[in-house]
Amino acid sequence: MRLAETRDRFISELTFPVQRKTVIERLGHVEIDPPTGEPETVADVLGRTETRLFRSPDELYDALVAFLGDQYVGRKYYDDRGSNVGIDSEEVSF
Amino acid sequence: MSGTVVVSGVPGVGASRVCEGARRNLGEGVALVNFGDLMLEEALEHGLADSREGLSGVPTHDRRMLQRRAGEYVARRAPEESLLVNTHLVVRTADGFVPGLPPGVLSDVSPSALVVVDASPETILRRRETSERTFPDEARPTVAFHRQLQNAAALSCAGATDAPIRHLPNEGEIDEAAERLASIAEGVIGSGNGRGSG
Repeated sequence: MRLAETRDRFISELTFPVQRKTVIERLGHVEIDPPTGEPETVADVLGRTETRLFRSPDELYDALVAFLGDQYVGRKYYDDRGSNVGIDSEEVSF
Repeated sequence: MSGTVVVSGVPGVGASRVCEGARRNLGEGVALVNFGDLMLEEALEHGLADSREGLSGVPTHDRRMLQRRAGEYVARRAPEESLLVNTHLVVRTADGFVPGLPPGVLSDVSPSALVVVDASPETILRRRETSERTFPDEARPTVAFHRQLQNAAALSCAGATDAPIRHLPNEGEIDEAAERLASIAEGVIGSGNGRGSG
């Protein structure tokens, strides 16, 4: 699932505050789609944080964003398809 | 049936908490989409920001692209699903206030109804002080101005899409407002045309 879709799962399947181990037990298997490379699971990502308790969906989601692997984080204006002049280079004009 | 209910509130009013409560009340029939999460995911991928707070500093040209991408995502999901879209109709950036759903993006989001979560500037400022999130240091007149802009933006969006505006006061308990939002969403989705009761 996409990163942005995890919040909906967190809200619908967890009760906050929630322990990290509970998140991992229930949703640790969920894979987060990366733009390139191998996907990580929620358990992979949360395994990097020392936070034991998430008080809200915001805290949990922010932790997920903060500890994502490198495959989810791009370089500014970098495009490995050849053009490095800006992100709108992906858009097509007719 | 499907429908898209767009929910907006001035930062700190508690719109996200209200959306979360409504999502739980609505069960599996409706998905919650956080517009800022979609923009941040795209911003991460392009190295433009690494946190929600960082989005406000993204240059105008790039911010518009992030908004378009988020709008396109909603447009892809909406025909098959009922969505509760949590967003801001007005966004404060380093350059000033800008529309959260510019015309092309609004067209993609195509709301069935607009819900404005509202509270007095005093309540908003009090909630900001006690929130775990980081908010800009704003005085009461700025918060009041932001509310005015949001109401104007809601009317503008309603005029462009025929989506009715629902006013959702959130001065008291979050659960109460969440129940009202769930009820509004059920009415909109049940009617299939954005003209539910409430």
